[in-house]
Amino acid sequence: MPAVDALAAGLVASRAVAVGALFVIFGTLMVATAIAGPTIGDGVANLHRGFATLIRGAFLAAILGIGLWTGLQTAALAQTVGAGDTLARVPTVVFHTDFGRLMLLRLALLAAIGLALAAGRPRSAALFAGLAAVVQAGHLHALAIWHGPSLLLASEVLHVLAAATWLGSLPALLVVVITVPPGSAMAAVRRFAFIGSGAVLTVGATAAFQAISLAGDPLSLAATAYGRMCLAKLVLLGLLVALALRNQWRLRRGADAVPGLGGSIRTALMLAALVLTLAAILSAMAPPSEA
Amino acid sequence: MIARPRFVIAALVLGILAGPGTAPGFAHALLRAALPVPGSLLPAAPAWVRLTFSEAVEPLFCKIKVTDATGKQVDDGSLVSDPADRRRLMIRLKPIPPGEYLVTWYATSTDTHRTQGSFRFQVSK
Repeated sequence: MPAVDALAAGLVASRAVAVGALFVIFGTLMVATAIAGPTIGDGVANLHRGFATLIRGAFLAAILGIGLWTGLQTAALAQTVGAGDTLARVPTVVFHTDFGRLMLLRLALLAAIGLALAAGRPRSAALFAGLAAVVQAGHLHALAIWHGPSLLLASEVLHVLAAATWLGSLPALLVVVITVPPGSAMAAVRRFAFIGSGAVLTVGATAAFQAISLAGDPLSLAATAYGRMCLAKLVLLGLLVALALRNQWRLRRGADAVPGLGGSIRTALMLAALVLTLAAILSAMAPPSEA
Repeated sequence: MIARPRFVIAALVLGILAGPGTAPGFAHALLRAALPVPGSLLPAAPAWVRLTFSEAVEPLFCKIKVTDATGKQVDDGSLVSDPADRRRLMIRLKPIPPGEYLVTWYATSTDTHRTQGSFRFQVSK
């Protein structure tokens, strides 16, 4: 039915926007506090303006995404008829379901980030942003299955945190590359390479672990829609890794400037958006292992 | 910007090796147990229908309906969840005569996925 399809598509899109925006807030704060600060000389004012613009935009996108996601999820859960009916049921969903409580937690953490930034404490803001990103693991499969600590939950938490570290930092790195002199930008990108290595290692290991845990037999991944979606996500992750390895190799050659690095980060950003969309689709699908 | 290739390959291999050792995933609320047992023939009328799902459910967005052979509803309409086990839902039945009954359920898991199903049981004369 078209209405159902529109609702499902809206849920995937709003979820991807909310999660992506929270990742960007965390990544930008991490780059601003731990990566860019010590290495940037000239252009620091432009850089700070760029980071501030990025965080403001991501904040707005996160709030819009969370609001839309909550509304659409209410419509799906309560099977409401029309916007008025949906709005009337939002409080029930927000205050009386696990989904709603996770949304409230996200909003509280966004408020904490804003207060920390206003108080001039970016490291505290980065910590709150990391927690806001990790809340996403509460929507994934492990908590609903086990209702407590499990290997799968640990894997999902690590996966989300590593993905936020890696993918969420890309816009901020792009700001660094286009606003500060090449030598300073390369120093910041090299510094990020160290953290990025750990993040990619974690994303790769946890993605494979979850794909096998939830999609079943690795040899029959392509036999189900869920498995094919997992494979598509793994392929996109593979492309991101290949892109990053190429940049790593070029950085190691010791050049003060890497031609085309900005374009490479833009390409990585597009792939990251696709990965987040696929992740949102996967979270709405039934894994074949439940049959 | 990223890791050494051998580390990435090792991580993927480790993930694949570790995968089959984990417990199976059940990302939707599937019916795992029911009282009365589906398809059973009971010597006396039950007072409750109790369903246990594979994962925690949101009672506000779940429904159980029990009907007799004519389609008349024989439950009292008030769904009860078990605070000690969020996977469990119960509904009280009105006094029912011998016959065949249909239990229809709709469940929403805490990760917002919806499932539904039905089964029959009989009360002997």
